[in-house]
Amino acid sequence: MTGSREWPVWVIWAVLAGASVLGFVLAEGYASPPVAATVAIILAALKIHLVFDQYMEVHWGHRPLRPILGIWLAASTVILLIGYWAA
Amino acid sequence: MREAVQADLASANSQSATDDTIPPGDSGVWVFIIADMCAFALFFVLFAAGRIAQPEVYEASRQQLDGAIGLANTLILLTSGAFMAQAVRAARKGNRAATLSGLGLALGVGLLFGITKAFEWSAKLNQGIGLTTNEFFTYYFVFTGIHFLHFVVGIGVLFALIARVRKFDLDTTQQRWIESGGAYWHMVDLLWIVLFAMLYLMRAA
Repeated sequence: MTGSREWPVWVIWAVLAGASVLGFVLAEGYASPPVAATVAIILAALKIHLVFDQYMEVHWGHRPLRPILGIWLAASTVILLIGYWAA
Repeated sequence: MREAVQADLASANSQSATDDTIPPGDSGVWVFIIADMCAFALFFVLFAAGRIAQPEVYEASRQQLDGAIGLANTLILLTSGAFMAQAVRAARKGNRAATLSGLGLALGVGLLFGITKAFEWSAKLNQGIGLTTNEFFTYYFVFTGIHFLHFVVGIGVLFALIARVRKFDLDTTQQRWIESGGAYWHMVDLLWIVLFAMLYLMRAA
């Protein structure tokens, strides 16, 4: 289904878990909360992109599904960033 | 019979490998997933609007959450999701044993999420923090509660998939069921990724 774009499952897991730990460590301890929160939100978006692409196996050829998921992810990320920065 | 199933699977997989226009699983599941994710997007809008209106309340409330438990829940769902992805890939290869072990491990690890969530909620309630404490905690309990309902349905789906793989040959129909269940389970995972960032990680300056 995914051809050469398919990554090994545990490589994906390691990237997702590492990004989760990094986001948490930054949010808990990084000196600049705005930078930490922004990076944590962007890391969450990148993780979700990876889940769409590798675990859910939805590719850009899957129209209109993949564009819809992409719009959802972009909108959710912007909503969280506005919720943070406008407060 | 098993050879015929293997040939059927090989043929189907060969076709799907060259057909990059059809997503895995059933189209009805994807309609449900999109609708559900749009509902959660509205939750994110509500939360963002509330945070803009009452930043101090939201930050003080966020500090009362245990980020380590949130991280543990994230890692649990990611690990369960990895086993689910393994099960889907094994099903496509017609490997029944690996499919069953993947589904079983996805279920076993996934159940830990229920335990940690119950622990976290009970700790909050014991501290006197509930649904009506303030707007942040209203959203916290409602959003994580609705997500938990999705998790419970996902656990039921995993049980059903294990029963089907045990009962039936691992043909293209079963493969499609597993792909659909996998897509749903990954949705539970990715919604938690957003909730984790939104509720636990947005530390105010």
